[in-house]
Amino acid sequence: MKFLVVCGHGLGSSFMIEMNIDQAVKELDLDPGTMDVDHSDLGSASSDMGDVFICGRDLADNVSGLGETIVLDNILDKEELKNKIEQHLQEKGML
Amino acid sequence: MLKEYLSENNIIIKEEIEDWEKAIALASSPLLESRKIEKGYVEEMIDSVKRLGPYIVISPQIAIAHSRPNGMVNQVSLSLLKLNRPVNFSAGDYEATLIFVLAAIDNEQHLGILRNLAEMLSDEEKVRQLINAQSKYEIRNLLD
Repeated sequence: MKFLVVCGHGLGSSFMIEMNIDQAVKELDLDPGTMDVDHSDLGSASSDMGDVFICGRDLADNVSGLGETIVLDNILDKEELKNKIEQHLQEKGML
Repeated sequence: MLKEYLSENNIIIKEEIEDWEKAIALASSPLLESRKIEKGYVEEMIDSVKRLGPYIVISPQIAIAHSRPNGMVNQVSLSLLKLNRPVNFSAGDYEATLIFVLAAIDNEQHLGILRNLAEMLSDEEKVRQLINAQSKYEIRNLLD
């Protein structure tokens, strides 16, 4: 499964979220080999770049057109991110 | 690492400010004065918020202003404006007391700063201490 984190410039918040996804993958005891994470800016992101798109709530409207989206209320909140990833994977029957 | 980048010169403490555009401009001023960024970068950061929304408010009370470098950044750098009263970036709860300005020159070289910032700012106690800090000395003591 590939997560693509999207933010305005692909320089700041998307990288912070990417760091936290790596940590969530460890904490959820997922196989890191099956979880791919990358980040991008809004302008370059396209639907083929990920299976799940993750962004902050301010970009939700722009990103949701790309595919399945996880929207974060607080970009730095690791618990929120972990819970939402867990929920998504459960819905997909992957957890 | 953050301590190296956030020198006393790059920290400003102010009681309050009229609006978010002035907050970004003031927060950038140390980097502008030391020629680490050009004036166009400040304008870009402000335009980005107008165009994309208050996405730079990454967490309650914390904004990290930044933009694409586009040749207007001379050196990877960081500055901080610490307000005693928050400024609103948009309707809703997009307000901030800690306004960082991050200047990147490419997609890679600033990631160390961001990594350290993210670690520090995900520690709620540390964020509370930063918000309550009343001197540059106090702020610098909270940095790694």
